Amino acid sequence: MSTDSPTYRILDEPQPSTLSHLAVQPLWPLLAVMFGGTWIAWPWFALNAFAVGSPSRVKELLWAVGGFLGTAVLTVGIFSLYAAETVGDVGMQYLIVTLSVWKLLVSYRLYILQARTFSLYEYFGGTVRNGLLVILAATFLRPQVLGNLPGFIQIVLS
Amino acid sequence: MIENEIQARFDMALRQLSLGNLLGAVESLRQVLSLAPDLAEAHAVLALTLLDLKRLHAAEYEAATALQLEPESPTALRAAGQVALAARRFSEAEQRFDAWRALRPEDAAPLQSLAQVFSLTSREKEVQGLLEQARMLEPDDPDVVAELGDWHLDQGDIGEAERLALEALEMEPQNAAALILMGRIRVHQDRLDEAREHAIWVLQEHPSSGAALRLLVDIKARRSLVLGLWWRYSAWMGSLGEGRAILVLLAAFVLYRFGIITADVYGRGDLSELIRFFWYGIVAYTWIGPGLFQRSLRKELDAVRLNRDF
Repeated sequence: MSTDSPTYRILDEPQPSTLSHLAVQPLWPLLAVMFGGTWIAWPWFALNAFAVGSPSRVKELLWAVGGFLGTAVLTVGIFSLYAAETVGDVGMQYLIVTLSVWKLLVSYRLYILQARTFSLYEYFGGTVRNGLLVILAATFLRPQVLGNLPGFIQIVLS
Repeated sequence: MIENEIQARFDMALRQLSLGNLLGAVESLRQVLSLAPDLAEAHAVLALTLLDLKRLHAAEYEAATALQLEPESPTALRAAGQVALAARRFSEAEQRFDAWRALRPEDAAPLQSLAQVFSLTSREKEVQGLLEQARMLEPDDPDVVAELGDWHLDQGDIGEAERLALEALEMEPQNAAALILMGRIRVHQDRLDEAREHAIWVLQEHPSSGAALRLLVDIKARRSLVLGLWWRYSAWMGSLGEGRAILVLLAAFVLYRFGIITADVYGRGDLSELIRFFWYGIVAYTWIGPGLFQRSLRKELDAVRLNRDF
């Protein structure tokens, strides 16, 4: 075995990926939650996990999918309570906050999971793209993408 | 032939570690493990190095591999104990350090590690006992004396801490642990310039010393209220761990939103505006704070000149 080409791989190190030309700093998808919405941010997190070859990419994908499912369940729950008149208009204002909290929780979790691998990805010389254009596009496309969808879907994806 | 190469690379890793070159050590250990994947000692040292690099998940895996390969290896037990300690699994850490101590009853190091566990679980009397025992085993080791001094300082006994710091410095005038202890004592005495000098002396020989950097940061934080607040906030958040830190941030967000909704419900638009203003202030401060703090610390570190012998 040649000692010039080390083969031992440490568990948390990124694996080579054919999507590496798409890798961005995880901060960009996090900003996309605020400027675009989860419709762009969470799939972007998932794509980025595969682009940087994150060892926890499946976990990250599951968090993204679970994020959408959780938002859907919460939305149905909150509006059922409202429809059954268990909570009034004021109560709804407080309950709606849980949706934001859930979206932030999923987004922070994805960010932290990805940031660990990303610093190693950068250390090993991986290419990194600037995500600003995607953020700008997401901000301008948000009304077009979400505007024509039914209210329930809008809430889940916003 | 190949054994010689493995040994040479392993020795290189240890040397890199002694100089604080953690990333270099990881690469050397990677080469060792490419040649000898079943070398428990290399897995254990890699675990300790990764732990220093805050790569807890990988460190955990390496420590478990080392223990699996050689359950009676003192280095593997030490690594597994340190990893458990970092993951705040205190009873497991205690168990590993106890096993290490049983294998090496003549060494002070397992006692010092056990003292760390007891200190984190608020068993102060036992900490003192362990550190005294460690001192009896290695009376001429300045690191052990300095650690005992650290304990006295944490208990507020500055006089005894200073006496022990001087004793350790007499044994070895350039000892990093003793210099840091003396620096911490000077901070307590509000002699910040002297404290800073102690931190700089350590950094001249050990540029990646975490303890010296912490001392320097502590001094900076005391000199500037704005940066001091940031440092205390981030140190507190860091001590919570990632999961709990997220929960704290989310709880703060919920309070902010509920505050605004409640103010609006009661027709207090002025209060609602005030809450918003306060929230944006915090957001701006926590956004700018780390940059300012790092710039200030970098300026300080630029002044550090390495010793010629380094």
